[in-house]
Amino acid sequence: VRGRRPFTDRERDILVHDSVVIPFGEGYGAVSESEEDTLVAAAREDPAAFGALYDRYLDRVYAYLRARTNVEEDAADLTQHVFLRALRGIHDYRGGRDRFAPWLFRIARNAATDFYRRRRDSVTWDLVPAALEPITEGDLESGLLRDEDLSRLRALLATLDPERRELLALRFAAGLTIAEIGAVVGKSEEATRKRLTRTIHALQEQYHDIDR
Amino acid sequence: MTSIDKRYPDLMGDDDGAAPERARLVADLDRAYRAPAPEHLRAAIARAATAALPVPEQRRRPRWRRPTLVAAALLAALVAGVASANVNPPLIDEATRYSPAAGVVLRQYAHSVNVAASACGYTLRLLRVYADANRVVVGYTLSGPIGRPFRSEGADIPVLADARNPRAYIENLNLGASFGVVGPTEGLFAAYNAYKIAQGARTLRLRLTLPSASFDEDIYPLALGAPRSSCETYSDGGIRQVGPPFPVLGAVPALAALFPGLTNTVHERIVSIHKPLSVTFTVPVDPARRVITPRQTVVAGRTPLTLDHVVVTRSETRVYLRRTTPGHILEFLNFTLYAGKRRYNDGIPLFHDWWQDHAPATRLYDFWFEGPPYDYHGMWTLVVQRDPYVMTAPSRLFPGGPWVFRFRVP
Repeated sequence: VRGRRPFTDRERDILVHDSVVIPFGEGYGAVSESEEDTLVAAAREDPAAFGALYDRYLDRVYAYLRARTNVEEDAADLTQHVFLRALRGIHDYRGGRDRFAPWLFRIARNAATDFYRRRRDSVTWDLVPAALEPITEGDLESGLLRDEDLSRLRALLATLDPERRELLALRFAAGLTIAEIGAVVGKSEEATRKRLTRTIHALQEQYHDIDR
Repeated sequence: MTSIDKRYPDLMGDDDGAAPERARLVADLDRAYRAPAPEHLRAAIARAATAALPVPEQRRRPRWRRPTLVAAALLAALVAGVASANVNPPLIDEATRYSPAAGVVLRQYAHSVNVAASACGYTLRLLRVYADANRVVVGYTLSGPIGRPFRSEGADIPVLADARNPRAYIENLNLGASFGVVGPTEGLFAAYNAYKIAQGARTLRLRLTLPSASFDEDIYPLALGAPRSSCETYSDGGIRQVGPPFPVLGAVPALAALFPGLTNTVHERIVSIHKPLSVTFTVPVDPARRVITPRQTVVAGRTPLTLDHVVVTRSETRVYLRRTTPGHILEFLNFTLYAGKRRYNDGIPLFHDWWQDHAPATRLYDFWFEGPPYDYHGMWTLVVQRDPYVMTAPSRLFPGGPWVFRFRVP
């Protein structure tokens, strides 16, 4: 049976500070996979330790949900919902081969699916968010050209079926590995890899054709 | 190598001579999907999560890796006779340990069946089935080839369907498993939403399918190789520390990979079987059902909410609420049900097909509670209120509350 090694000094710093619940969202994001195992184990014992995991995944969960909704406020509300559900369900997380990231994104995916089904009258699936960041690189002209490229890319993405868009959202917005994506969507790693690779290949051909 | 190359090495194929275009596409996809969380969200979740703490919930599912529990399960199975039929019901009971309502119906009201399907030395054996107006519960075992040192990380979700229409899947509500594959059998249970199939039916003809299964298998010693089967696929499960590292040898990682026994580690592989295992069975629908129709509307904070009806069966209590105001949905609400002095928290919303079929046209939403006893008679109270931990704009919350419904269950 897999044992849990003792906490390192750094992990203790992350988890506990004078027996006070650690503040959430205060810069504990940079932890390694092995540290994450320890953090998950700690969070299962003491929900106060969940803060470090939350910090690590907030942007990724939000970006994924932003890709699944077309209103920023919806993504923000769903993100809250996902983390609170994860916090309450951390005891149910079984660990081991089922890594934390797929577990968390299964919650996020279910939340997005439920949300969409309840609001299907007013929400369309997966409109890749319009550029949220101001142009900061290069000059204005090149920035505008890049924005045109992104607009064309979004138009292409809109033609894909939901399953393929889901794979892309999990890879690019959520930042999951192919194995993790397989765990989220319930497919083998090999099947996921093939599907994603074919999607990228098809997109590339169309993207290239537009340029000609 | 650019940061994009590093982050997406699996997508940077150069086999078609179009590497630059591929790199550009991947970079643009990365940019298109980029959406940093707003700062106010970070603070909002921090406050909400901190407010939600502590959460001293009783652990509802097994702590799979606790040595004493697994050892106890192994010992119990060995004493009882490893692969005998007698050990299977306790394994299923163990699987429902953290879902007591499912355990009650499987122990007291379920029907014994004994149908099995095998492939590649793996066997799915259905032992107990139960159905009522709210849900179908099945208890079954999954066995691997004898003599293989498996540890289960949980089988796939079995698919339940109408036997006459195998594509008509029935929504899964709950799962549970015993403490690993024991000698080499694991007990499991699964519960499904019977709403669509059990209304008015006396019996159900159903088909349970396990699409695939996977286990962790210890390979020892790795240097001698491990047996392979054409039925199975394998992937690396990594090295697992089974105790404190041995002095001297334990400090050499290379030795752990080659000779795990010398370093108090074992090497695991993940064994997967992709041949579906299916069994077909018939289960009578338990007629024990009480339907209460309070049709009770409560106005709180100027917002009306109606408790339409309640269906009480042995497996669960399901409450149906109707929204009467436009523009809001019943999200971020807490549900507490009181049956006499007993209290049941967290009515769990049924989403999926139910929402698709019924909301928003009827504005009827249902929530289920495991636990409220079918045989309890008297006054029941349902309290619906906003989740105090969700912080969002007031305009986005279902306004008003709390709503308190009282109804008598005869």
